[in-house]
Amino acid sequence: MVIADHRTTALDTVRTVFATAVSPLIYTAHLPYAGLALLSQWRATSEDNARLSRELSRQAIALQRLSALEAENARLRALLGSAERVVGRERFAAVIGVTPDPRRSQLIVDRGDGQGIGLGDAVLGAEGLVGQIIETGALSARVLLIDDLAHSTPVVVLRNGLRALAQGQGPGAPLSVPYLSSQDDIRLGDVLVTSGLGGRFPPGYPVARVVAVEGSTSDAFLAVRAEPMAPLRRLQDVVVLSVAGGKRPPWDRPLAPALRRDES
Amino acid sequence: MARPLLAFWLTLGVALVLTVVALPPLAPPALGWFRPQWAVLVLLFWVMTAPEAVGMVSAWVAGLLVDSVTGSLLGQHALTYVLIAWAGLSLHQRLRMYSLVQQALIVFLTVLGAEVLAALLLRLARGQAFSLALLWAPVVTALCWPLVYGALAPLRRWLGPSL
Repeated sequence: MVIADHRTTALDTVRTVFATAVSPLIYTAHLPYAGLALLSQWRATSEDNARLSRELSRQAIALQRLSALEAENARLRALLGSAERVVGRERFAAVIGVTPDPRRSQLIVDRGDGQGIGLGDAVLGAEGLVGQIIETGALSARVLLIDDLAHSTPVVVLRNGLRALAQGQGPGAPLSVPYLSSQDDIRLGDVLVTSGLGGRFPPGYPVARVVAVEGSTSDAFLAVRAEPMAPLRRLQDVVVLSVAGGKRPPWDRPLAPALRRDES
Repeated sequence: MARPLLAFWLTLGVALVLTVVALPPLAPPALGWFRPQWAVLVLLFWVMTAPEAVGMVSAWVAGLLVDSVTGSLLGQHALTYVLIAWAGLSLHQRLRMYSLVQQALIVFLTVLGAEVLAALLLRLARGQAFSLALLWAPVVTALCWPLVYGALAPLRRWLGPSL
């Protein structure tokens, strides 16, 4: 059974049934935190309100420029004849639990199957990529975070478009960026964004910032570490990006059959 | 017969909630190593005191539920819990005679075995390195045994004598 769950997707339905069955327990376990959060929210609401309305007007002004840029982008894309990026449905979800296992990096959110969330959906936070959905129940879903040992994210360096992988190293540890040689142009402070390769994540979302580049010209590979942008341990609200109609997104069009491989 | 079984599932529900109740967000992730395995304690208690009602099938289903709440591979806890129930069933008459300290020692060994098995499975499944920190869970769980015993024993007595 363990092997079947690890190697195949045959037990996904079983997982869904069990996840649905235990979700009331997880909601119960979250109750004290929800209560505390409610109390502190209640106190902070009025000042938040003032701050947020200021923020909103600022954002609205920025957005006006964005829509102009978007239109321009669409025109340029049409000129180039390339496909437009289609982003699926966004759903807000609150974090209601974390895995108790210190070896795993997982969250549980309060939206599931019933709200149209599916396996493999990308999960984003305000600061950057959070992870992906690995299990759904009727009322909850489990998120594998980008710093889990079993997770790799295809990224590019924002500054120069250098392709790389960001591999999780376990809860709390910075991501490792392997297979870069000393000829590759990567520096401290570089921002890694999703590349969209592999099709699991839409391109362009920030993932991590490079915090260490070690190795000399004589080494075959550099040891590059990157700290996730999103505060993975302090997340409260996330956005789940579902692909419309359950179809593979346009950015998942394989370049060549040999390249088509599911990451992580 | 049916009442101890019902009590088992109800107390297991409480144990599962305790298992997943979140640590404060500022706590380091390593604090997760110190979590007692409440479900093992509840399982051992009922297997020991009501072996005619709570057996290996209950243990297997309980293990699957624990797998589901902790997000581990489906079957990992189910496997260890069946082994724990088997050991508990075959030793229950002796276990009842032991003092709380001796029982706590058995709990330590049981949870240690379960943790080592889990670490082995994780190593096979995803190449995760062994960490000696896994020794903490058995220690903390054993220390919690008198607590759980003290809480469940009155309930057990109220349900009537066992076979």
